[in-house]
Amino acid sequence: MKYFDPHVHMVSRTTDDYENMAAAGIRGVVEPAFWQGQPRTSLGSYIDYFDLLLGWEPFRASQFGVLHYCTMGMNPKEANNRKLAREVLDILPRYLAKDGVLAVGEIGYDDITPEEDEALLAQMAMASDFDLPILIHTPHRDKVGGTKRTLDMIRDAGTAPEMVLVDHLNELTLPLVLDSGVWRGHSIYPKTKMSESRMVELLKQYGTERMVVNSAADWGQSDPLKVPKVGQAMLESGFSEAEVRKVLFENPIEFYAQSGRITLAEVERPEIDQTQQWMNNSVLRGQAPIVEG
Amino acid sequence: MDHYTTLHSALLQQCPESSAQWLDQVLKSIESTSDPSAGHQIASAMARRKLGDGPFNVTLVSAEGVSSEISHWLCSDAARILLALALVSVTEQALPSLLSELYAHGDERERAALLMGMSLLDQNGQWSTEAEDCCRTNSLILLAAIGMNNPYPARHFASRAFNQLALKSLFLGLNIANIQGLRGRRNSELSMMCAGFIDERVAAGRDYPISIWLAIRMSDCTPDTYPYMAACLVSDDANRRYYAAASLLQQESIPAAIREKIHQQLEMEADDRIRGVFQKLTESEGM
Repeated sequence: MKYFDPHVHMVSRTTDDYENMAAAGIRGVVEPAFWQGQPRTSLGSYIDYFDLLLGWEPFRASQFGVLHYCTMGMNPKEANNRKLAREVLDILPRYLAKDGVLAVGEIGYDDITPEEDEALLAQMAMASDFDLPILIHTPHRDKVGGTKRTLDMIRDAGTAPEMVLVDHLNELTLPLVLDSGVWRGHSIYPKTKMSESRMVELLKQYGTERMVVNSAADWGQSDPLKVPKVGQAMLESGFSEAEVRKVLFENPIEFYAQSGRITLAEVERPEIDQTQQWMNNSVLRGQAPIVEG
Repeated sequence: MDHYTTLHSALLQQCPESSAQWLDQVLKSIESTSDPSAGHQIASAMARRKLGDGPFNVTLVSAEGVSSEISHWLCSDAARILLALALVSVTEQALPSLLSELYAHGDERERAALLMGMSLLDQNGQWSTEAEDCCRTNSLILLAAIGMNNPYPARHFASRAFNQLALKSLFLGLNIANIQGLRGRRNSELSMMCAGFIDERVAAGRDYPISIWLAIRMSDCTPDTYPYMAACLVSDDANRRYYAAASLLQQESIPAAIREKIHQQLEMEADDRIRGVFQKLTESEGM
């Protein structure tokens, strides 16, 4: 069974995690740009972090045959440092143009402040400029209020709902988004927020259409194997392998494929050494070129 | 034909029409707006999605009239190099600072393209110190981009940096037969470091890279190295035999003990290509 984790902060995970994820069948991940646990204090920190999401982290993932993509954005929490946030928004376009950047995100609300409004609006406009889908983070406090406000913003901006994935949904907020046409994201944690069994109940109640599941694993207590674990729970509760594949592999890829920068086919294919993928074999450890005397 | 024109016409020939149209459109925007850098930045980022990673072949002719066939570039690499050439031709920014900016703003593949095309972009080696610094990368793609099939390091790198490039390539399992101009840049430090590397590997009970002899001048080494060379000449691995023998063609003189081995192996060598090299060796040495 192949899996795809569309929301995981691999920068805070060790290579043991990559090894375990690969062994569990996870073929690809999307790492949203987010905050780092402690506030950044300069533009340089963001630049280095964004570059890392495009360079070092995909390289780390590739060592285990895992494809690594990302989203780029000014996260809601740090949007509250307005001066710095504006500097970040200024450089964001050059990152949104890059290969491997599948969406603008994760953006949305943290405390629901005017500064967060400003950053959200600006980035929704950029998403439109770059024809990119949007990954929305719904707040952990006042989740219902934050989700409703986000839906209003999306509607007011005229953004096509199928281009939006609203994440971290639960039993209270999922019903709110059902009629809007957005994709529905759920983050499965070991102790808090959503669990495997609760997720299975939601899938039973609301079906598999546009449903997306992720581990959102980060530096806190979290588990980057939650996607395969949900798969297992689904099978045990009577879902078919095709349904597991739909929710935990096809759906997330289909959502992000709207960026034009990822396809189902490329995540399906067998592992390839990325360096050999584009350089002639004879250049690397392979055949011997002729040496002139 | 200048490099820009050569690359441009080769790309138009080898890419699908829609890609070629896009390319011409963005080239025009770089060459005609007041802010060419902005247009270049987005175009370069998109170039791989637009041109793809299909193979690309071009023959470049240097100012001295030397032809080199470039076959390891991909269409996306060639397009990015062309875009950079276009920007260089219209910008008012000094070349070194422009190249630093392009490198900093590129993703890994964009950076690799810049390194691959560096001998076209920076013919006088003004960016050589920064290019040397690029070799400090952990990325095999970037190291191969600057080090393999690229005339730039041999032309412009300082001795220490060139030696480190050769040694690091060996460490990472790259075939240094692909380091252009290696023969002319061999020196005693490099020979000694490579001989030391062989010693280390042998002491650890591990193999050493088959292409390593190409970086070594036997005359820089002590006789302690000769048994290793001798062993390679009779190795079960045909590629190992080939590289050892081929590297001897590049030596000013061959130690007597090795000459003996060549004679022995000439009788026994089953591989035509390798026997040809042994033949050449015996003829050139008047053996």
